[in-house]
Amino acid sequence: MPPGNTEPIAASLEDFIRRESRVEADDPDFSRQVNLFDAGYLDSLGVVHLITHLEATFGLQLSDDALADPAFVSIDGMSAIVGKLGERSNA
Amino acid sequence: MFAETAERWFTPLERFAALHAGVARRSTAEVIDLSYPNYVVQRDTRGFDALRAALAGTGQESLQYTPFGGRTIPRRLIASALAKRVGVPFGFRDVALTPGATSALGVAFAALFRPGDEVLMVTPSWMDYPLYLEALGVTVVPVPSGTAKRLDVAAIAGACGPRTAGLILSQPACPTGVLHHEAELISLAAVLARADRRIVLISDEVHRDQVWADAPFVSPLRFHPHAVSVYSFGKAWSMQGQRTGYLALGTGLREPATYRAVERALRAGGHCAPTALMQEFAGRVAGLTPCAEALRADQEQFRALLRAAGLEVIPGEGTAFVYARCPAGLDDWAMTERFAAHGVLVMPSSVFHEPGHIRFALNAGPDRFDEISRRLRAALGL
Repeated sequence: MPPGNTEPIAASLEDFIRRESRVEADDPDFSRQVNLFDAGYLDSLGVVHLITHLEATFGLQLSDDALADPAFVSIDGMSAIVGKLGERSNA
Repeated sequence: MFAETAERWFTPLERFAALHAGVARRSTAEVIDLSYPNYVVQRDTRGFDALRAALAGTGQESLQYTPFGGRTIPRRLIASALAKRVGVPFGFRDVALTPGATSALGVAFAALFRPGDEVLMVTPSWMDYPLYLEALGVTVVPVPSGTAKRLDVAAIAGACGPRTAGLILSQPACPTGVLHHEAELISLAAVLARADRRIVLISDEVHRDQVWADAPFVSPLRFHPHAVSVYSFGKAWSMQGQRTGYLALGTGLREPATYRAVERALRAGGHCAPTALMQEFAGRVAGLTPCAEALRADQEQFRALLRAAGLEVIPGEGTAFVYARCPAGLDDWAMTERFAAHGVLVMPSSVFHEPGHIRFALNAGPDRFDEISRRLRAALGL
C-alpha cells in the first residue's frame, strides 16, 4: 500500500462495520466521517471486534494511545491512525 | 406495601386468577383457553426463524452482561425502523430495551411521574396500569371510552386538572381492538397541548403489529411530542414469554434530565435489559412487520360466529382480541363463569376496569372455531 493511501483501510473498515453492526445499505446517516459511537454504529463489544479485525488484517498492534486518539471515532479517523502505524512499522 | 386504594384494582384481577386456576384444576374435559393471550397458533413464522438464526449466530462473548437499556446496535436498528414506521425521528439513545413491555411501562411511569400526580387512564384498559401507578403514589383517574369504545376526547378534556401529569392509552386499544384514527389523535393532542402543565402521553403500542383491518396504524407520537411509545416484540411475534420490549421517547422528552431519569428508573427498579440473545433477536426483526393476513381471516370468522350466537361485538381493527357486550341480565362475571362451565375460558371486563363485557383472545386457530361455537351456543342456551 503506497504511503498516505488510506483508502484500502477505510474500505476494509467500512465493510467490516457495515457487516458487524448491520448497517443498512441505504442508511443516510452512515458515512466515513460520522462519529460511530455517538451515532450508534459501534458499541463496546463491536469495538473489541473491530480492533481484532484491524490487527489481523493489517498486521499491527493498536496502542492505548492510538485507541485514545480523538480521531478514533470515525472510519476516516481510524484509517488515518492505522495508516500512520503501518508506515512506522514499515520504516 | 400497597395503599388501601390499590385494593379496588387488585380485587378483580385476583378473583379472575382464582377462577382461571380453579377451572384448569377441576376440568376433566379439555378447556379451550381464550383468556390470557397465549397463542397456540403461529400466524407468521419469520419471528421464530429469526430467533433460531440469532441463536446460531451467537457466541460465548455475546451472552455477557449488556448495559441498562440494551446494546447500542439493536437499539439503533430499532430506532431506525421505528422512525420509518411512525414518521418521527429516533436515535438509539431514545430507545431503552426492557424485559417486556411491562418493564417499559414501569420504567416510563417511574421516570416521568411523581407521587401526588394524577394520570388519566382511558378505560377499558389493560389490567395492570393502575397497579404500577398506584405503587408509585400516583393517582389513577379512569376516563371511560365513548360510543363503540372509541376515544372520548371531550371526556379527557373534562378530566384534566391541575395535578394531571399523564395520560395512558393503548393503540390499538386493549382489550377492545379499537384503532384510534388520525383525526381522533389530532384532537387529543390539541387537548393535551392546551393544558396548564406538561401532560405526558404514554402510548402503549404493544399491539401495533396486529392491525388486521385496512385502516393504517397511526402513533400518537406524531402529534404530541411529550409522549412515550411502548412496544413488545413478544406480542408482535407471538412469543410473549420471551419478555422483550422497549420504550421510545418522543421528540419533546429528549432532554438530559429525562434520559437520566430513565436510566435511573431502569437501575432502581431492577429492570435489566432483555437477555443478550433476545436483544440480538430484536435487532434482527426490528425492520420486519408481522403479516396480519391470517389474523384478519381469524378475526372475521370469529366475529361472525359470535354475532351468529347473538352477541354484540365491539367493532375493532387491531389486536388478536374480540370484545363483546354481555347479553341483558348477565354481568361479565356470570358470563365468564357460564362459559367456563362449558369449557371456554374468557376474561370478564371487570379486570379491564369496566363492567358488562367479555374478552376473547384468539389463541386458537380456525380448526377449533366450530368447537368453540358449539360450546358458546350451549352456554347461551341456543
